[in-house]
Amino acid sequence: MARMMLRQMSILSSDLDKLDEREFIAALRRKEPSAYARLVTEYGPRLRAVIRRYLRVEADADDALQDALINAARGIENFNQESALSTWLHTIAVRAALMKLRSRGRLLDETGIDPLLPTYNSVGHRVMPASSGDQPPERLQTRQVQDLVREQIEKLPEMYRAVLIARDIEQLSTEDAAEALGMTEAALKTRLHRARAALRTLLEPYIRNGSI
Amino acid sequence: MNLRLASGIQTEDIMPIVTCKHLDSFLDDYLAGRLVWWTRLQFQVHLTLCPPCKVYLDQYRRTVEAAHALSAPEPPATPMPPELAESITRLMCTAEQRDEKR
Repeated sequence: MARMMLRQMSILSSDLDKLDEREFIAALRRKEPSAYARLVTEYGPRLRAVIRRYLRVEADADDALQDALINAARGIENFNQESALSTWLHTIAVRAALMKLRSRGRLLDETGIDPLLPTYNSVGHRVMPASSGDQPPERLQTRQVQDLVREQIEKLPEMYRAVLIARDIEQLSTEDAAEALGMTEAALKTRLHRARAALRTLLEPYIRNGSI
Repeated sequence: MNLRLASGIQTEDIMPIVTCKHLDSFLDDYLAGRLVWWTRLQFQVHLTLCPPCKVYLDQYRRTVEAAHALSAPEPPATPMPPELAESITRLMCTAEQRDEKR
């Protein structure tokens, strides 16, 4: 039954594709099932990619995607159209991903970062690790550098990765990121600092040999 | 203890930055240009006297810049299994019906 309804929706959806964004938003506000189907099929894959930046477990990401789309459908009345629909949906998806992390208590998991943080001696002076024989310099293209940085960010513990992506990549304000993650601004700043310090450790060999 | 002085400057701001660990706590504010002049001066004096911190600051700055450089493009779309699209659409319709009944 649901499958048949969706097939009908997809036929209607192809008609809706011809409408411009304003008409599509109007259809969403009229709560037309075909507009919902279009929202899922057209924007779902991009929002899923945004959410997967934050959530490694596929089932969690799909839950967050579901929350994001339902919240978007419910909140479409409040969308003021000052930005593109895709931008508005992106913000909702980021928020849903952060809320999911928060609800799963993942934010309490602070283990795993310590080996990546700077070390100091007993009086607080920096202990720099001895060079382990730097790799020969390698000139990387911008794209290769970006892939390398993304790869290293993936190695951060989930909470720190989320904070770093939200602030340094998505450019969310400290206030917005802290609110979505349910922590104080001071706590968020501390975690961002640790995430950056850990990423520096991971990137250090590449910075030293001039790749970055 | 960190007391706020009449001028708005906190005692933490006027404590000399003696250790590298202490310097690290000001790193983000230094890069963002948010340090008061006295703390910024202390920070710079420490850097002048401590080559490892100078190297560390340079690497930290490059790390932040490398992360910022990822901000522009959207990630490529991740395909959705048809059954997921189907289930979410169904939920959106039923959530809508529930909302209307309230």
